Amino acid sequence: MPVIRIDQREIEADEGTTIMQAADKLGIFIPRYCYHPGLSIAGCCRICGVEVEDSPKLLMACATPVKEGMVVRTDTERVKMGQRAVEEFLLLNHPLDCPVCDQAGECVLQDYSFTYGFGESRFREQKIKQRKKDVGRDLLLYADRCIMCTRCVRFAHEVSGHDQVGVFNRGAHTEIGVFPGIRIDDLLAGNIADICPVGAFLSKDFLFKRRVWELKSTKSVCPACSVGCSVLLDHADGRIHRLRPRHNPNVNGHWMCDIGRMDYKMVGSADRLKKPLARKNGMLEEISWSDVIAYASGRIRQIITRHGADALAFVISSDATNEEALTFAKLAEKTGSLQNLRLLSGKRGERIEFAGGFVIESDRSPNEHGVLDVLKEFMPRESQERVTDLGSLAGKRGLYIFCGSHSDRGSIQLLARAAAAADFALVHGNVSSPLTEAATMVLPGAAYAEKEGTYTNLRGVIQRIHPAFDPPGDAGHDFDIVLQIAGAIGNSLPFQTVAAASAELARRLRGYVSMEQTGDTGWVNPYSRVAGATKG
Amino acid sequence: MDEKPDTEGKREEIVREAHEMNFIDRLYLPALLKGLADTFRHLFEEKFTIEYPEQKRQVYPRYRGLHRLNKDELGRVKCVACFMCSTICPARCIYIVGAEAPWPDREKYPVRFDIDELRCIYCGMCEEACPVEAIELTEIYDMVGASRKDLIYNKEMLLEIYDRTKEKGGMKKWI
Ligand code: SF4
Ligand code: SF4
Ligand code: SF4
Ligand code: SF4
Ligand code: FES
Repeated sequence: MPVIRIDQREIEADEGTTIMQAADKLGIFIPRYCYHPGLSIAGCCRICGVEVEDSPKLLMACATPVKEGMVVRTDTERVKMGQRAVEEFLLLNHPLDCPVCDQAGECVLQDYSFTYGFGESRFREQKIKQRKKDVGRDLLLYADRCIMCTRCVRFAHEVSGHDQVGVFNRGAHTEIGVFPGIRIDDLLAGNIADICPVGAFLSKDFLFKRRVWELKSTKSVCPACSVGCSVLLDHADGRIHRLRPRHNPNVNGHWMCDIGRMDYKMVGSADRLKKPLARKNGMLEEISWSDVIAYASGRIRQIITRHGADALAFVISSDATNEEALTFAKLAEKTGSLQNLRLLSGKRGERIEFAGGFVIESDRSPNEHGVLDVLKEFMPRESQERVTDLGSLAGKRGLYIFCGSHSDRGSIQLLARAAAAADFALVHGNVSSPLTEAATMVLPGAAYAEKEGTYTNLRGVIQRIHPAFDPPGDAGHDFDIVLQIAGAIGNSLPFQTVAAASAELARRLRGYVSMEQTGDTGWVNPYSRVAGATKG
Repeated sequence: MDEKPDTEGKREEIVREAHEMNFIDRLYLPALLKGLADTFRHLFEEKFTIEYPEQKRQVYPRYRGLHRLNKDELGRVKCVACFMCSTICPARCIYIVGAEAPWPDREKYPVRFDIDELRCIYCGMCEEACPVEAIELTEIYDMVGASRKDLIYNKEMLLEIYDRTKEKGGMKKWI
């Protein structure tokens, strides 16, 4: 492996990598616009010029492969002059719309102008102004703010494969545009607004909602499909304003899809359940938490004593975290109804694969694999094959259904009929659905952005989610609700916190680790079913 | 009742100690005359008080009072909802909701712009941060309201203040 020197520091770089990558490893920052680790190298923005010994001109760090004995300088006067010149060129025709530009605050051009730029303009001529263009379902193009880095063009070609974006005209008239008659409507389009280093491509959904510096970011996992892209929830005042992908080589790389990007709307939707409800004279009415827990546990105890534990069924949706699934299964174990434990599967959709290898899976719920892993660990072997057979619950007298917002519609209808026919149906969820309409009592729970725990994606990667804010109204944390029900029935569980449940999970399930050990990029379960090893 | 400290008795003692009065003091007349003399002297001296509110004090040109939201040549709110003022405001008393402007030549404008004049500390940072000179502090210092809510000025009220104080430039005139 070639040994090179950057700013007097030696590093053994990998064969075939570039000066930029070697410098990143050393923690030496070289500015970049066109370079993006998830895209091919263009070397067109010229901001990354560095001095290399024996080379007459500045070389582009992003596009120059390392060579044995290379001596690189990133801090000389010539390098700085180069950066200043590039900055001045970029700002020649730049509108400096910063006050009304949504990118301000996370704009690379703004940051670099401040760090590497001139601080004043010598351009006295008229700038070219352009109106913004509506170029896609969620994209606006402000072509006059573009700095021609071609990240968007490369993305549309290499990652989404839809090739809608191109470079038009030549010289000073060069501009980014969308080919006539096409719109950027594919399901990866939102990433273009993320990778555009300036405010040229902006999201319509986020437009003017908030200034970016008002947002707090919470690390989470997208619940819209079983890939479970690592995301950042950008929120303020208890509302999510946008989602951004978080780089995770184990899961999603640099990207996420637009289904997941817009899925946050469910968190703040008007359909959210905010108060515990109980049926009185045929109508669901608001009731306090202590009453609903007392009544519900009383009814469950009653069914067990009158009809036996087999008259009781427990259903949990693939929206639950592993820790919630564990408490739920423990509850079913304590009441003696493990044979009637069932999974409420997630929605199904088309499996979509993109040119760059990004896949949207057909299972459109976050944790079917994790919940199944947990349920199978607890259920007796002979009833395991019935774990998704909801039809077998017809005729049960008592139902406790932990439903989610990504559950299969048909299964919800089926369960709603079973709930209407049962003596007692306790429905625990976060949005109203036909199932909550048919319930005897409703427990309002949290959405993914409000809770803590882990999800297991379809490749067995266990990822942690963090709560961004509290559930709305009187809604509670699902984990605590199940614990309380268990406690009120008289079967307190051996753990009281999500962290303790997570540790228990790590002890019981093969290949699992506790939530603290998953790190930011998740833990890849070596025994995962998809990875080929046998499991459960 | 017994627990209560006997403050009354103690005070009397202290008062007596401090003002042990002699015969002249006890006449009261000399002190009275002295007071009257003072009063009469001031009648003929220069007056410092003014007949507020009929008469108002002339403030210094850079006085920082009630805000106004300026209008552009076409009478539209000049503010572009950039949130610079609300970001810099140390009292966090500016609340803005931005939206796409309804005019073809403008990008963004505030649909809502509230300033809590009771929380404001009149530091003038908002005015200094504004990139389009849309927010300015005027010379108005008498704000009245029947409740705290009345002193949260909304966009319409702040634009109205502009109409009232248009002919007087804001702080920028003096820089
Ligand atoms: S792209 Fe960046 S520099 Fe240009 S107007 Fe937007 S925030 Fe300002
Ligand atoms: S629109 Fe954005 S991503 Fe595309 S070339 Fe211009 S600056 Fe780069
Ligand atoms: S004067 Fe100071 S405290 Fe008052 S609104 Fe402006 S920035 Fe805030
Ligand atoms: S700084 Fe000026 S333009 Fe920006 S929001 Fe405040 S008043 Fe409006
Ligand atoms: S980052 Fe190297 S040329 Fe753009």
